[in-house]
Amino acid sequence: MNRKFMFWDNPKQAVVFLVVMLIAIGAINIFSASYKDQVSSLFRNYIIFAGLGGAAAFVLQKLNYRIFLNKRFLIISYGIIFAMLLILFFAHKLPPQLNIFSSITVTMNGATRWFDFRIMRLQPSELAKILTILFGARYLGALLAKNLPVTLRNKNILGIFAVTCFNGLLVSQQPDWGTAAIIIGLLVGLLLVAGLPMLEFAFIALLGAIAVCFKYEDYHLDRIKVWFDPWSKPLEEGYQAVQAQLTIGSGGLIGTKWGEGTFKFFHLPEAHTDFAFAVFCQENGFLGALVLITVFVVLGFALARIAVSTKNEKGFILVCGVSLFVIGQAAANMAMVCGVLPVIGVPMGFISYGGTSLVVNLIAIGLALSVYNDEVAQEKARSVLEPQERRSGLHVVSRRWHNDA
Amino acid sequence: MMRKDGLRKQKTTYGILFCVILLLFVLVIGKLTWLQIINTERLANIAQERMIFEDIKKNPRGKILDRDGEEFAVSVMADSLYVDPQEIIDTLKERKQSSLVRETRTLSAKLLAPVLNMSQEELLDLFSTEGRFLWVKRTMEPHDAELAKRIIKENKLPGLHFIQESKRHYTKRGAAAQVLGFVGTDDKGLSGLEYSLDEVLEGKDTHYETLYDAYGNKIWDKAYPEPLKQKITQVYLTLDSKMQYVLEDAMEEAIKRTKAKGAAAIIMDPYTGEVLGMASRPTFDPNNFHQYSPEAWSNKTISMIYEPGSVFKPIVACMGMAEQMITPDTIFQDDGKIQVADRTIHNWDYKWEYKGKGKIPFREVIKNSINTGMVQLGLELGAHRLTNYSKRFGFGEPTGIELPGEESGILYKAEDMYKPDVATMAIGQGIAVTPIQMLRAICAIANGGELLQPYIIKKIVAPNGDVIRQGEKKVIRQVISKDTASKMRTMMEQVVEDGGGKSAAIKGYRIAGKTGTAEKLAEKGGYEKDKYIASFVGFVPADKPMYAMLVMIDNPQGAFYGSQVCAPIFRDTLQQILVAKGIQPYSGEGLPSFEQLEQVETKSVKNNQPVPQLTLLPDGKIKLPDFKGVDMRRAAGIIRQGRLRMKPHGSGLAYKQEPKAGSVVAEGETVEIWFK
Repeated sequence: MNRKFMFWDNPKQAVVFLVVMLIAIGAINIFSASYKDQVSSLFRNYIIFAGLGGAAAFVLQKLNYRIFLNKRFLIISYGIIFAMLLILFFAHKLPPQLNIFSSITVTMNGATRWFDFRIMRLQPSELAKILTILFGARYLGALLAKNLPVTLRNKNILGIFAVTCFNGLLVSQQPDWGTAAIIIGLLVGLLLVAGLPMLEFAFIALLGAIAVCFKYEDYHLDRIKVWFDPWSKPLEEGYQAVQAQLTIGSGGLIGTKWGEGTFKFFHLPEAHTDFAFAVFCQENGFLGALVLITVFVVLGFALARIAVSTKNEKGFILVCGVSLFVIGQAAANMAMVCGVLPVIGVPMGFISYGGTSLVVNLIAIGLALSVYNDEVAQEKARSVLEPQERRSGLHVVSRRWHNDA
Repeated sequence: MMRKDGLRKQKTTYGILFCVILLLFVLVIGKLTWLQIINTERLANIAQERMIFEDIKKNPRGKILDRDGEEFAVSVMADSLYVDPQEIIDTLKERKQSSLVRETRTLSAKLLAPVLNMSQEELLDLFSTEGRFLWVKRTMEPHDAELAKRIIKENKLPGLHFIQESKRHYTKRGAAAQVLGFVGTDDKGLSGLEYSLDEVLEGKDTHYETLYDAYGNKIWDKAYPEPLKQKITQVYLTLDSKMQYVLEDAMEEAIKRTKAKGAAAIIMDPYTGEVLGMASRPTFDPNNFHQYSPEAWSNKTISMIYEPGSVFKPIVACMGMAEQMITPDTIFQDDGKIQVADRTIHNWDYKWEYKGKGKIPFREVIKNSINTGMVQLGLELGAHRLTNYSKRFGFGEPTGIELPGEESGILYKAEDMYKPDVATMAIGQGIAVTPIQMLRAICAIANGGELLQPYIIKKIVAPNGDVIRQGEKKVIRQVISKDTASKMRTMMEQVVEDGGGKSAAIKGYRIAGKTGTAEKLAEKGGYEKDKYIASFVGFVPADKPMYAMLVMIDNPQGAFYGSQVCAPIFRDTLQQILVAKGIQPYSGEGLPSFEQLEQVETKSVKNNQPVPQLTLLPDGKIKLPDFKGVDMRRAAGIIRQGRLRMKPHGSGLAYKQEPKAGSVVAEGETVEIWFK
């Protein structure tokens, strides 16, 4: 476990380094993307949230991650998040005169996604993402540890599947289909990793398809249409996609100077949130984008190294979830921004502005590091307790490393 | 205890999912290559096109300046408020958001009425009309505009917008009002130079490219951190604002004193034709032109036609000398009156018992403005020569000065003239002129015979600094010989020195001039009873004129002779100008002798400040006065008069000089003077 990863002494060092780098890039990009007349409050907020998230991650990696997989903790967390999602649901659906929640919730661009705590905003759906990972780690890890088959017929599995789907359903009504898809997608991904039979996966896919048909609205089709050819409606549905592609394209190989990417002046909607990558590409060019992608990919590999070398099943699933979450979101966001995927609201961890998202990403990293620390400690304990086995086992462990790398 | 092959299957699935994500990254890189490397140029161009729009910056109307750049008329950009009444209804959405339903029209009217200085009802009417564009208030004062903007912003009043418009300010108020003219509210020149130079002066639009954001908001302050420079045309006039002031003051005074209906005065440089001052009465303030009657807008110096009367006599005299019919010494017989066909023409001072001056030389005829002598000369010249010479002197056609509304005057056709017409034309009747024509003709005498094209535009400088028009001296023709002009100047000098124009004399200066009084032409033809036009025309110094000036007063009450009414105005005005311009009196011929001067000096030492004079000696040398007590500026002026050089020491008043007072020096020598 505690072995060199690329040019770092161990994967933890790599993760810390890369995450700090991403926060730096994110800070600069937020600064630039939102810079119009003066340093905007967005930049200040980003720094505050990065500090908060960083502190949380630091504390979490010191703690034993198992306390977060505790059943009572999970149920309480779920209760809180569920209540918040429910309030947002009602805040969005209730007619204005009956809306008792309107003062504590925020509606922007027709979506009610945030709680307003005056000094900061909270996006519960982001918290739901991390909750999904914890659920998966707790229950899938438990099955794996007992060497039981992972199947929806298991009542625990069915239970977490049901509550996650319900969370997703509530989030989709904010409306925020991107986040809903990620919440459910994360669970499905973890189910697959844990060994869900293909038949049950097919069943879930069918369920998903039915849900989509059921909740189908015209604009969804439009989004798919403009995904294929955004230029067919460059000023209507294709606007965001076209503007994003123009923004990226005008960056060229090396980009414009920082702060001089001109499209952020409202030509590009959501320039600092979901489409921050476009501004990044304009200002840093193709080479800058390559650097950013490389950072995410290397971070992914570092997390993957931690995952595959984790012997604890719950820890394994947890780190799998974190890695898929962090780089999966990044990849999906980039793909969406440059038009490889249709426009769904997926943020890019660390780069897109969003306080909760940033904190949740850092919490996820903190949990993964906690797993790593725990695993390193376990290894040490084993070597102390069973020196014999340690010596004989050294070869075996080492071989395993080679096999997996 | 872990399983040796633990989680192998799980790790494989995880690896596959991981690879799916990596594949997505690969696709992203592929798309980025397409966008940022292969198509970057095309996309960058489209991006540019989507942001850049041509924009227009309005520039203020050009400036009108005097010859030294003193501002007569300037424009500043002011905010004009307009309303789009259709926009003024709050949309439902806005109502929902602000969660209060409001009657925007009433609210807007209520809030804005005090700032705009308009009544609420008036505003409400405006806000309730059908149109899409209605002016509320144009060219607002900056303070009011700021206030209104704040109110509109704070209360989110819809439909009210500002546009920048050029607002005209005439900084010298009424000075040269008719020359400048005025502009209407849409910045169109309506009168005077504002009208004739409208195309040059009007605020040109600067077209430039601006970056716009997707909501149509300008972000050009980003792209062009420096605000675009205003492009302003500058029109320099030949007018001298100081002279203009003196002239306006004098006219004001004259109107007050004579209660005249109108007046006109021009000062011109007789050698170049530059108009240095031009005033017309009644007058107006171009800042508020609509408060005055249209009559005040007209420039009488170019548009009023009148019979010049005796002022015309020097012109006729020049004709006689040019035709070699007379010299200043030719003897005329004056009987006080003369019979021409069925008409008797009297001298101006004719009385029943008075029988004229008898045999007199022609210079006396001019000096005392004797009609009988002029009539005899006129009859001798005949209709053809009179009218032809008049035309050569520029009468009967506009002078071509750059001002709009110039009249050409009236000149008989020679064939249509009966003998009495010929006789009266010789005394300046039966011909109608404009003041500018008259002055120009006199300038031809002053400058040695050149008929000039008068001009008032010195130069026009385009916004980019190019001089697009340069006023230049333009000689139309040589009308009389230098010799004739010189003889005429001498005769005219005598008019002021010793004849009918004595009241125009300025002590110490040589002045040539001629008075004139004529009955006023009625608009329907004929004359208006007991209405006169008094005028005076002259130039100074008589031998080498710098300024020529004409004063004309239309129907003065009480005294009506040119010598009584106009000559003093001429005197007072030019005296101030001469002093202001530092032109020192020249004690030449006809001034007190050296001995007398010394007496005067010793006398005047007691009565405060004497003005020391250089004394020109018969051999061309110069005798120095005592400069004691004179300040440096004045001393320099005196020294300059004698073409001497001054080497000053110290500052304050003179107390010592070298060479000493009374010593004789030659031209070009240096005089040292110490001041303390």
